[in-house]
Formats: sequence, structure tokens, C-alpha cells
Amino acid sequence: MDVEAGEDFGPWLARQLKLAGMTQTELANKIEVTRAAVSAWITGRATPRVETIGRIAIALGTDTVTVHTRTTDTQSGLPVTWYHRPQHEDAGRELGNAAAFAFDPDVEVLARETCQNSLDERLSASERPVRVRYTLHELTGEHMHRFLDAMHWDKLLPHYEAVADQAQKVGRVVAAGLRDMRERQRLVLLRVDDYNAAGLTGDDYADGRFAAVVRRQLDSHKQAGAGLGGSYGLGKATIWGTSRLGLVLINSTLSEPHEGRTDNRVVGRLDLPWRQVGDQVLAGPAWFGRPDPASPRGEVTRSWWAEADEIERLHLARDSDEPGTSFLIVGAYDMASFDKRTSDEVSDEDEGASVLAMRDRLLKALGRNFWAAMTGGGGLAPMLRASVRVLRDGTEIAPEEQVDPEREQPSRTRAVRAFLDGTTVDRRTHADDVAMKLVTMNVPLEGGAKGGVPHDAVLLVTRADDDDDRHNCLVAMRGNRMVVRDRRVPALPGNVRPFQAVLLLGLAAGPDARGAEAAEHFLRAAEPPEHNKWRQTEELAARYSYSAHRRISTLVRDANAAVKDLVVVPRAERPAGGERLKKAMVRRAKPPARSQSRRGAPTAPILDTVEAKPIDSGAWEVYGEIKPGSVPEAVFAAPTARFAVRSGSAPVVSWQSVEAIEGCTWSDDDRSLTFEPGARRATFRAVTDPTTHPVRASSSGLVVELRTGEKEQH
Amino acid sequence: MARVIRPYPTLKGTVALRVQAASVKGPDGDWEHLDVAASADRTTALGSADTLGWTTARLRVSVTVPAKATAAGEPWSDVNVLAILTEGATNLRATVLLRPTDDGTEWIGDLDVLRADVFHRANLTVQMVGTVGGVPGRVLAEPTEDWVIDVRAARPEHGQTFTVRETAFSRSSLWLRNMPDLPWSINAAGSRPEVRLNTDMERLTELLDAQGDGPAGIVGSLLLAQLGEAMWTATFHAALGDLESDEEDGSPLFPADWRGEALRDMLRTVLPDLTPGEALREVHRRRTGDHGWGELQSRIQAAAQERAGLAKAVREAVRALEKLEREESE
Repeated sequence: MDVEAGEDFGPWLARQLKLAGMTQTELANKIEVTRAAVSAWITGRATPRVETIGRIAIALGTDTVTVHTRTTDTQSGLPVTWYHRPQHEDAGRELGNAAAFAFDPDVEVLARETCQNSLDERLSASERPVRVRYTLHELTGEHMHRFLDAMHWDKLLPHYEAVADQAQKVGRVVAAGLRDMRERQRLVLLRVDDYNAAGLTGDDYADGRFAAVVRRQLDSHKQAGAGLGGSYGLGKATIWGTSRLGLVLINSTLSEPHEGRTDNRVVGRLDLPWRQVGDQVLAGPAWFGRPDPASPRGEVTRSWWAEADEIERLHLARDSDEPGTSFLIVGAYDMASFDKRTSDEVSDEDEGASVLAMRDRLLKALGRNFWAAMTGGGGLAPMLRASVRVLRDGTEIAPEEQVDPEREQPSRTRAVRAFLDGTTVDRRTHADDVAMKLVTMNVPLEGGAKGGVPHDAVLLVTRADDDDDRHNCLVAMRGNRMVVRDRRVPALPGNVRPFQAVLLLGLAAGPDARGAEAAEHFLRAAEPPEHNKWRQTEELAARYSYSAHRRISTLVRDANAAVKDLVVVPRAERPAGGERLKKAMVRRAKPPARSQSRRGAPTAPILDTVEAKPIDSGAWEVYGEIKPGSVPEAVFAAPTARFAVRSGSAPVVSWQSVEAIEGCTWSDDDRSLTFEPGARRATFRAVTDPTTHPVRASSSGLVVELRTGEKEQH
Repeated sequence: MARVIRPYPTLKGTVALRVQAASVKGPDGDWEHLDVAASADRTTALGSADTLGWTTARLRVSVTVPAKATAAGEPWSDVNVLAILTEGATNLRATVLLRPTDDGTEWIGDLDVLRADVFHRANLTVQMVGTVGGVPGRVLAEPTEDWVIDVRAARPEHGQTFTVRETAFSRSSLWLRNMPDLPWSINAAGSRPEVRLNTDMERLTELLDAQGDGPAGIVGSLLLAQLGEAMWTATFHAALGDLESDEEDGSPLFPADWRGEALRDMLRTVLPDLTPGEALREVHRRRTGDHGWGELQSRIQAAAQERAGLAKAVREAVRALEKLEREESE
């Protein structure tokens, strides 16, 4: 036997027989051996001789090399196709996957969900980051049709048309998707790849990552170990929800072989509501794969090990043989790119720009939620790297851009890096310093037992960068370093220098932090499926106690107090005279009063724009634009020019000439401008008298102001 | 101050200035690094130092300038950025050249200040200078906002004005002992402008800090506005009585500190038709001259009322009172 072979002979042969719909006896008869011999091969008690292998190959309709290497299935099996789940026995109707259609699709939610899954599925033995790449691919015309053919669109279309006729929300979304494809010959694919992750391992039906993602709706498959966000939990519905066709194709490279193989495990899953197509009544989901002869009536399709040309046609080819999974979201869209409108209000024109808008929102969302996971330090690589690129018909229209945490969140990234590098300080004396303080949390015991496990959470505070979008916030995270909580620190005094604070909890505080594991488990249980806060959850109440969530409020309160300790200058008590008096005393000057118009009096003219330059005669030539105010004819304005000085009073220089250009007239007698009634804008040009200059024009700055007043009433 | 137009091209864009770190050297020669919280609100409060009798302070000044500052092909060359510390009261002017970081958009340097050189609050600003049209040392850019170095305050407060003290007038200086019923006393002149609140006056400080539209809040707001009016009137008069004048033409100059700002602001109400400089000359002329001063008094009062927000306080008090009365009758 060939020792280079991929899969063990026994299981491989058993599957080929299944695929071919052949029994052990039938094979035995064809190749003229006993049934017992075939049985012995399949159970691994014996292996066929070389000349027998040739006969087996002929019987299976393949070549000897395939039988020798066993890295692919024979092609004798049934062709790849769609299997739609028939309606339930009780004829109950499900009008959509509740989880998938409960919200408008939002790439920020998608980014959080997918990156979190990838972080949880990172091959933890490796010190390398998990790489996540988002590819937005817009297909048009011929390119679109080639892709549709590859996934047997003709077989799906009747189902979509049946659903589009339904009045439910799903129907409207699907109808809009079909219209887009038909009228604009355009389809958007959003591919989410991860590398250096576990991949969809495990059996097609039994417990495991594969079944958790592909077969079940609400299953949260969890790897045994702390620090997980519950990968592929409820949130995976967002992947399907981002497809307006409810359609996602998957290609996974496995970290542990299944059926002796790892590369290109492909399957597709469609999430549609109950529908009737022809005389078939269907429950909802459908799977794209190879019919499984072992299933009832041999109709159910399961994942198959795809050939290179197949995955190319299906846009599922992966960059390398590193383990991980690619999700291809077919007909991707993002309502949040269109402000607050609902899916019915978005017009086709809006969607023209949607691919680039989605890219921008993806980049932003990745930066906002995963900057900490993308930060390395202390000799450790970051946990995550993420990038986004955009293609149109196979050509790159926005090059791959890697999310740079330093650019997205400069100050917070500085804080986490300082923690990882061990360069934090107790008390900040330099603006770029990162202060660290431990905040102790009392983690409850499971089963509602009294007492608790103390956990030392790490609080980091550093100055806010000017580029940060929000200041004075406390963000909190646990082991996967995804931002879970982001709130302003309440009740700060007014003169606090802008800062950012980060609270590292559970395993994020470091594996050696006191109580890290216990806190990690506790917080995990307190996270709702959206992973965007910690609060009372059913799991929390069941595993701990009904009051366990109060420990979180206590922690937040203690953390906020600790932040204040680090950022507020301590002071004895309230200022003498109280805060109100303090405020009243520092009252700042209001801008020049325009508010006087409420008394019906004309508002003063304002010098809006001034330009000036020295000219050859040694004088300054000044051009000015005035806004004459509410009642132009009732006011006057006289431009004045002074030479700028550092201290002392600025010397006034005289005008040699003033010329009204627009909206006003100049009077040499009053030496002021009179405005035309109703003028909205008045402009003038003036030249200074060089003989009144204290120094040469080229040696001093000039200040031009406007003297204004109300005209006397006669 | 209105924008100064220069007779040569200047750098457009924002120049931002901040103090990144501050330390003080004690009499024994040890440096104490102040907490970064000592610098906030565009102010560094050196009074927060634990070292008593410190002699020198060192300020790490950081300035961000637009990238064009050192880009090729601009009309300027030999660009330098310097930090300048000035104080009107002492005529202090200390400068230090900053050095550029790698890309030339951030400039950093240490400015040393002798405690003995600063009376109270010095202004820190920066200038970017360069050679333009063959003339060296021309100002190319200045920050829109400066920074205050306060050698006394323990808390950084940019708009610091009066010091507030709560004292029992009955046990105070001789003059105040004779007026034990005054709610407050204001001294706006001299180097230590001060508001003293009489703690003998029951509930006074509590009322001044009362919130809400209950009776205490109504009374408090009115008291506060009244105190404000008195404070700004006193400020106006004190500042006007202590004007420095230009050495050459003898014309009066605005005070360099917060009193100058208050004066400028109030003069807009007092003499709205004039530019600030002219208005200052005019009020100075009337105050020192033979006539016209009395006529200005009602205007000064109006300006103080406006700055103190008296009209708003009265309006709100009336509204709150009506609400109270309604509630009572229900």
C-alpha cells in the first residue's frame, strides 16, 4: 500500500461506496472477492493487494491513482446540488429565521461578530495573530452570471420568487435583492476570511464547529477553555442577515483532519422562510452540497471536498493552506450605510456607492472595536490583524487596507501597549505617560455560594489624543480584547484634562492576574449575544445567582472612582464661595453683541474679510468686505488702520484714499462709509498714507478695524 | 486683538500649544515631577507642587504645526519655533528655542522659569519664525490660544480672576469689624483681587451655591447676580484707575491680565461705537478730565449688569416665583 496516502483506506472506501450507492456485496461481486474481504478492508483489518486496487478503481469508475492517494473522493457520487428542508410534520410555518431577520443588517455588527468568532477560534498554540480579511466584491454582467451558474442559481430562483411574493419583511428584502440583480445586473459579495484559526472541524451533523455553524441556528459551540466569547453563537445569524438573499457559501481549511482531509471543505446554506414551490412545501433552510446517501431518501446534502476549479468558480479560493474559514455572503448589503432609513426606503442610486461606503464603515468598526486585540507589546504579537479590500469584477478598486490601531485609537492603543510592555507608571508626570491602577472585583462563586474570588482588574489612564472621537471614556474588555463597554466617566469636574481610560478584565488583565479565570467566566456569562455590555443574563442567574450582576455595577463604580483619582487634582473641599460663584467669576466675554437686534436697534456692521499688501509706493493697500447688519442705512462705518506692536498702543496711520466698490459710498467729509439701503455686503479699497507710517510698510504688521455707529436721526 | 496682516506670506493652519510635563526644583536641588493633572484647561498650576520654596520650574512645551511649516517649496526658510513666557506685572520675557521631531510637525523643548521672575500668572505662547523674502526672524504663525503658567494656584484654572475667601467679618480686620453686617466685601485693586464672603451672615454661602428653582435657588441666583454686578463694577473702576500708558504717546493701555479682558468686554457696552482702543482713551479722558465721567456711570452699571447676567437672573427668579405661587394655590 502507498504510505503517502491521505485518508485511511477503510473509511475512504466506505464513503465511496456510500457516494456511489453501492453495497459491500455489490463491490465484492464486481471485483471478485468475498464480502468478508471488503468488510475487512473497511474495518481496517486488512488492505487490498496492488492488483485488486486496479479492479476497485474500475468498479468505482475512477483511476488507480485516486484510490492510492485518497486525497479526493471519486467522482462517482451524485453531483453537488441544493437540498431544501421539507416542511415540518405538523405543517408549522416559520416565516424567516428569527435571529437573522430581527434587525437591519449593519456591517459594524457583522465586524464585531466575525472578528470575535475568529479571535475565539484562533489557534491558541501559535503566537501569531489570527488574520481576518474582508473582501467586498461587486460582480456585474457576465461575471455575475458565471458565479450564479456555479451555484446553480436556476434551481434557487423559483424559491426566491416564491418568497418575494410574500408580504413579510423577508419577502421585501429578497424582492429588492432580485430587482437589483435583474435591473442593474449587479451582485455584491462580501467575503470574510480568517487564517490561523481552527476552521470548521467536526462531523457534518454531530456536535462540532461545523454543525454549529451550518446545521444549527442557535447553537453556541464552545471550545473547552476560558476566554471565549461563545464563537458561532446566536450572533452568527448576522452573517446570514447581511445577505439580502439569506445565502452564505463557506469554504474551510481545517486545523484537524476530518475524514482524513483538511483542505477546501465547502458547503452553502440558505436561510429562507416557509414557502411553496410547485407541489413542494418547504420549511425554510436549504443546503448546497453533495447528496448524502446515508441520509433519509439520500437527499440531504452535506459538505464536500471541492476541487480547485470548483472553488474558483464559487469565489471561494483561499490564499494559503493555513487553517481557517471563508464565509461568502451573497448579496451583501448594509442598511446602516444609509443613515436611519429602513430597507424599504433605500433607492437604487444609494446603492451605487454602497460598496465603498461599506468598506469605510467596516474599517471604522474594526478600529473602534478591535484596536486592543490588534495591539501587541512585551514581545507578543497582536492577537488579531484585520484588513478590507474592494474588488469589481475581479479587479481591485480599493487596495487592501490593514486596520492600524495606532491611527484609529492612538491614546488607548498607547495605554494597552504600555501595559503589555510593562512601562506603565503609578502617577503620570509626562503627558504621554500611562498610569496603571488595580481595581479589585469580587467575583461571585458559581451556584450562588456565599463569598467570592477576588480579581485584580487593570485600569489604565492616559491623555486623550486630539484625534480621538470621544474623550473621558472608560472602555472595558475581557480576554479577547474586544471592546464590550464604552461609556463616559460620569460627574467629572470641568477642568479635567481630556483622557482615555481602559479597564482590562479577566484574562485581559494577564493570565497571572489574581482571579483572572474566574472573572473571565463570570463576565462571559454576563454578556448578551451582542457582546456589547455586561448585565443580568439567564446564564448568569442560572450559574451564579439572581443578584450576581450587582457585582458588575460595583466594579464599574469602583473603576470610575479610580479613574477620577488618577485624573482629578485632589482638593480639600468645595471652593470658597461655592462652584456657582467660581463659574460666575470666570465668565468669558461674549462675541460682539449682535443680539441687540431684539430691541429693534440696528446691529453693527462687521468687518468680514480683510486683505492687505504693501505696494510700491511704500503704502499698504487694503481690501475689505463688510456685512452692513440689519438696517444698513441707519449705521455708518469707518475703517481704521494701525501698525501692530507687541506692547503699548498701536500707532494709527491715515488713509491716503478710500474707494467704495460695492454696496456703499465713501464720504471724505465724515471719513466714513454709508451703506446702500438693503445692502447685504459692502466692499471697499483703501490705501494708507506712507508719510504717516512710523516704519516702512514692509517692516510691520497691519491691523484693520471698523469704527461703527448709528447715524443721527434728523 | 484683531488679526494682524503681515507684509509677507504667512503659514495658514492651526498651531497648537501644550505643556506636556512640569517639574520644580526645590532648595535642596531635587526635582519634583508634577502630576499631569497640574496641567489642564490651558493652564499649569505650579502651586500644586509639594516642594515648598521651589526655585526653578521646568516646562516641557510641545507645539504642533501644520506640515507645510517645513515642507519644501514654501516661501519661507530657516524655520524655528520658540516658546515665549511673558508676564505683564514683571515685564518678564523668557524664550527658548524648540527642536523639531522627525517629521517637523511637532516641536518640543524645555523652558526653565525662575520662581523669582514670576509674580503670579505668566502667559506662555509660541512663535514660528523664519526667513521670508530675505528678511530673517519674521513671524510665520502663532497659536490661537495661549497657555497660563500659574506659580501660585494649586488647581489649573484658565480664567482665574478673584480669590474668594470666607471669613467672619466680626473677627476680621479692623475696618471689616466695624461693618459686621456686610454680606461681602470686594477688593478689585492691586495684585490680589479678592472677594470676601461674610460667614457671620447666616446661610449666605449656602444660598450662593444653591441649585434648582426652589426658594433657596431663587434667592441664590439673585444674590449671585448682584455680587457679580458689584464685582464687575469694581473691576472696571479698579482697572481704569491703574492704567499704564504708552511710553511714547502717553495713551492708556489695556491691562495685560484678566482685567484687561473684562474691561474690553464691558467697553463694548459702555461705548459701542468705538474701537476698543478708542473707547479706552475716551473713558480715560472722561475719568481724568473735567466732565463726562458722571454721565458714563449708568453705562458702566449696565455693562456690569450684563456681564453678571442680572437680567436673566431676575427673569428666572420671577418665573420660578410664579411657579411656586401656582403650586401653593393648587
